[in-house]
Amino acid sequence: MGLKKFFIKKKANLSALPVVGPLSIWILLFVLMPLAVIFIISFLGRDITGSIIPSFSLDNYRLLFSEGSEYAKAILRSILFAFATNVACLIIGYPMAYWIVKHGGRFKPLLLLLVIVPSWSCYIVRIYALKQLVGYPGILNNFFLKIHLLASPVEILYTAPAVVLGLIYIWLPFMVLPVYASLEGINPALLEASVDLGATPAARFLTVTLPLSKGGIFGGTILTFIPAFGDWLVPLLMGGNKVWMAGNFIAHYFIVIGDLPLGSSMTVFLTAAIVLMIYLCIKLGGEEAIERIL
Amino acid sequence: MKNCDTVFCVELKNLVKKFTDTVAVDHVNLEVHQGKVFSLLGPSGCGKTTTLRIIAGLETADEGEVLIDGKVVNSIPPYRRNCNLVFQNLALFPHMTVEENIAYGLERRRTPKNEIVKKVGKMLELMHLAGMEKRYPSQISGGQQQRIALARSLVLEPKILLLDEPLASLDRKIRKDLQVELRRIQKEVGITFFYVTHDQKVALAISDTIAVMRAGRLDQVAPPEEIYDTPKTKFIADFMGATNIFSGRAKRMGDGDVVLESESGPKIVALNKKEIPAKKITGISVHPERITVSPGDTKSRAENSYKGKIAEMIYQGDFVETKILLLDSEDNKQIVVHMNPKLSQKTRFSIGRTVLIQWNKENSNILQD
Repeated sequence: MGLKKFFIKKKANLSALPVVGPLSIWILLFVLMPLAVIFIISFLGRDITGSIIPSFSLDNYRLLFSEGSEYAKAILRSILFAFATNVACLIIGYPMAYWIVKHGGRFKPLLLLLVIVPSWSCYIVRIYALKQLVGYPGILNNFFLKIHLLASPVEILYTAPAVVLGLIYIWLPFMVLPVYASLEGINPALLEASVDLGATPAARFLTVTLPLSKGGIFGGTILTFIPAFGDWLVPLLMGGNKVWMAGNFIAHYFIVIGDLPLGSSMTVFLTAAIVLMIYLCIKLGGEEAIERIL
Repeated sequence: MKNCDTVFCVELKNLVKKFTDTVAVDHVNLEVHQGKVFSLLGPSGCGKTTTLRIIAGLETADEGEVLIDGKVVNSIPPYRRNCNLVFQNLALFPHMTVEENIAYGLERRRTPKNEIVKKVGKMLELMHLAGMEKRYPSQISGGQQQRIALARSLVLEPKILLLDEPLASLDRKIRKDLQVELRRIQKEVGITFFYVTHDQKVALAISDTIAVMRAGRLDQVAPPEEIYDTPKTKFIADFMGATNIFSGRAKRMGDGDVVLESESGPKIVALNKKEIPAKKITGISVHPERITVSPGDTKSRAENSYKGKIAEMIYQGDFVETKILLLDSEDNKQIVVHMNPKLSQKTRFSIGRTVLIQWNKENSNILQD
């Protein structure tokens, strides 16, 4: 490699600086720095008044997973809820995306908009709307009681199923979009080729469509499992302080109790778990999984 | 073996396909003989691909019948038709290896595993692709992908293989190699090929029969030599590279010849071998390589001999494309001649020089549309 080439390379790097520079500073200041602060605090202790004592130990983490720890249970519950949400979003969202791709025709943009628009409105408003819909007294209960399909009201509010329902409702669009993108990207000739080679419609779906939309499925999983895993507003509103997820513990320790070191250690563990999940999704779903969520 | 003369491999009867505002296929009738290569040749948008897709079952015909092996298949879904399609963009499954791609159709038919392995191996050998089994389509060259696409369809031993311009995307050298390869493979497996293309060179090289299609109709169906030497219409003549076309009225002469009084001026003599009535004749075409150019300006007594001035010379490697302005033409008619480069060097032809051009009446092809 000559000196000339080196300089040319250097120049190219410099020209990218105005674009990458501010972004890097932003990520450094507002993403990595806070994480680093949280990470350091998670190893410190606190006194009775709640102020942080600079004494390094692993006590916080030991406490998190000591016997009968509510946090450990909440982590398991979060995994379960997030998994249920993810599977449900896939079961509902995949056929939705498939239908739009196949039968949407010129209404495709409109149909996609209908999927996206609700997620632009306020998160809390939507949760309250859902509560009005499924609660008692609520629209659905009142209706089914009136037509005598129900003898007594179904009260699911403030239970685990209500929390999962809320999570599905909030995160569904984030499964539909990546799956839609990957299905739309499949060359129609491939589907024709599979039929031409003797595949029945069912075989065609299983051998061509499904494997080729893998990236969308894993992309959608990143976008639904992970936010559902860390969610704390939905369990708060739909679970009414009865069903706590990992996020609720963190909020509780930061805001109510004011035990920053313990709250930080919870945050670090949750973040680590999420990073591991993303890694697994990308590993299984390939590069396409990342492409589909961008 | 079935008697080829009574039952055609593929037969189209009065096939019609309309799209919202155009008629893509307009009452097409054709017969494809067992074990032959049949080419459907035409410019893009002439309906050739639609015809192919109707045979494959990917489109439905509005009118008419499709017969494969003597049986009407109009209502049979594509996955039960005994024909396979090689797609224009190949449509190899990107998530499957070469081996899995070739085995795909066999697996759909629930062929026993050991038989699949045997057949796939045989195909790879036929295509000279042994050792590529575990690669993905994105990891092999365009020419190799081409052969995989071919193998994937051929392994099913269809009654007829439909090919939709599969060589179009390749560069010239590979395309030529694959043409030869295609012909070899077809001879080896003996399967009927139905080949759709807009490239007249490919069609001439590989076909037993060529059908030229224009705006949904078949203009001429004949062996390659006939299509090239005696194109029936101006459209085909132009399409096959016989760029010298004269329009005009024809008159009968003695001994079976006709003479065309061309609109450009010159009278052109043609041998009327097929004894086409003079009334039906609308023009004459001549291939550029069938015209001879000689120095000098004295008109010879030979037929179709004209004086001209060289207007343009473009070196093409194996020939020099020369445009010659006809001197006694009323509309500045230019004649294109493919000259031997050696000859043009020896005689020192150059732009502006007056020359004598001549062709024999056998090389005047009669047009009738």
